Amino acid sequence: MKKFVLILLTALLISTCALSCVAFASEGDTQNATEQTPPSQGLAEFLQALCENSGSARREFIAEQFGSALREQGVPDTVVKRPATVQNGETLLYVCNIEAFLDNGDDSDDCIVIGAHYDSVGEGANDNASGVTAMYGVLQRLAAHVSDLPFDVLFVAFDGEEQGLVGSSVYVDSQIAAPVDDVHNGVSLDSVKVMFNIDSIALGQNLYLACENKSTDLADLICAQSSALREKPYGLGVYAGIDFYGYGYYEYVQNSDHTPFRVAGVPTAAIFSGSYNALGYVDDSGVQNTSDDTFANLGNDSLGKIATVADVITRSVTDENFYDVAQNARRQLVNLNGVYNGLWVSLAVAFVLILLVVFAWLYYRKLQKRAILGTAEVKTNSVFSKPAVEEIFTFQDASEQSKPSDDNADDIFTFKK
Amino acid sequence: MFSKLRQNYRLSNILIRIAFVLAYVLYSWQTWLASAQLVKMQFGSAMFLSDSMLVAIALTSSALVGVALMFLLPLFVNLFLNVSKFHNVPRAEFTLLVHLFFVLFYFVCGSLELFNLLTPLLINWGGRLFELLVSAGCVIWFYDVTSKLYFNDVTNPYYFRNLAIVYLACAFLFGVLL
Repeated sequence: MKKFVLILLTALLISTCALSCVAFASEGDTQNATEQTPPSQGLAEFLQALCENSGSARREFIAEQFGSALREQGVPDTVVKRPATVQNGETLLYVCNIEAFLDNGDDSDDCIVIGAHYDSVGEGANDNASGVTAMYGVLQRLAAHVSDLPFDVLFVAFDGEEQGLVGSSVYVDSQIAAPVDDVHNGVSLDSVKVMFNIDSIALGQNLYLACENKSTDLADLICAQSSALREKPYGLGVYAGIDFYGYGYYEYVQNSDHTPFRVAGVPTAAIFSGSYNALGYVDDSGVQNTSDDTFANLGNDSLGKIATVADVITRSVTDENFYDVAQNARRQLVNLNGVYNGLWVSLAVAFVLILLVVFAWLYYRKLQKRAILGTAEVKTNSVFSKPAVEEIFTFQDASEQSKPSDDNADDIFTFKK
Repeated sequence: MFSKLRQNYRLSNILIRIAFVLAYVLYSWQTWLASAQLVKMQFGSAMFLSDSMLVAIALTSSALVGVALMFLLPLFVNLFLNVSKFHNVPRAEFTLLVHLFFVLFYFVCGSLELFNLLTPLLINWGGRLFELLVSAGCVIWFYDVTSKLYFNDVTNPYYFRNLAIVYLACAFLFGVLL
């Protein structure tokens, strides 16, 4: 038995190590994003102009460009700027999200959100002028076809991402706090089927999609649109068990504007670039949040990647199966909220502990009886009562025994061995 | 098994202590590595640490804490034996068995935690329930061995009670409260 357990443990260890090595080997390899979409007209100019502007000038530029793109497609200009101030400790932060709403014209409230943050450290060509440019590309393409879609589309250029997801958090909080009939543009979080987030897509080695930490139908559908985009590796890297966002685990890649949506229970699809090694996500751009993140330092394939992302999102959203998949996306969320991870685990542990206490108490009473009765066999489980005499002695049947001798106790009963 | 352990006591002592540190490293390396990554993220570009350096730091920290625990453990064992007034128990040998208990516990839990590399979904449930179940199994094994070695039918209940109180208190503290 001991040998069997030892062999079993050794086999378990070896198989786990082997599986881990296989996972490292399969996910650690790099992927060449060769099949990229050629950049469409106007994206390069938009990107360059975005990089040349900063602060409020960039905000005005985005609002103006989004508005003109809608007007060009004959769609009402619904672009709005939503300023907000947020108290962050002793600092008062000012953020201003820019929203553009495409109404498909039907009575349904169903909606998807496509977002990218426009604030940056320095010029921020990769992080995240590239994401805003891709979003602009999607807006250009979807504006003309929104009436064909079974849902509305809301584009949001978030502010304050670099300060701690401030803009997206403000958006989500305001939607949660707002009365149902008074939400922005008629969009409530309950009606948001999927939130797309585009962040830093121009410089990394590969393009990745992160939906959940498991494969979902939504991830499969989006990745099927282009071989240049692949799902992030699952279960790769070290998970500290540190629950920063209520996911139940922490991953570096999940620190972007989709996070407040995901925490609020909205299915998200985050597109980003980079690479993975055995320890997890690696930002291989080399210029993240530095003054070197400039338009001049973008790679030759940067515009191709931006166009690919815009193309993938457009094709995903217009895919005939997208609506059904999006309807089902909430059911495929990994349920890792605080109750599931905190309360229920503690209750389960407490339940097992109570069982252990009960068994320990019963065993303790049994030991006590054994200590009192020496090596006598304990026949009963009723440990809470005093043992009956029949539990200690075995009496002979009177009909079977011969007439007892006067002073021989063994003739009447036998002691248990 | 234990007669051999007693015959080669000095060698067993060394081997079990080495195994203790190694098992602790297997058990805790992920936590240390994650901590090292968080430190790296905190300092950002101001601190250059390659992945191999992170791994080295995590393993070294883990091994150092393992060594520290190895020396701290006899203090707790002595406290337990003194408070319980088990003066007839050979302390060095009993401490060695406690080390062996932790070797078993760390090894099994560390092996199970390797599944975290494949899926993070077991971290919260698995991490806490596995440890509780494994520790319960290990403590039953430990009691089974030590009760036969050092106690008899009369002293066993008192030993079992004290061991169960210590174990359940620790399990409640680390499993539910922390």
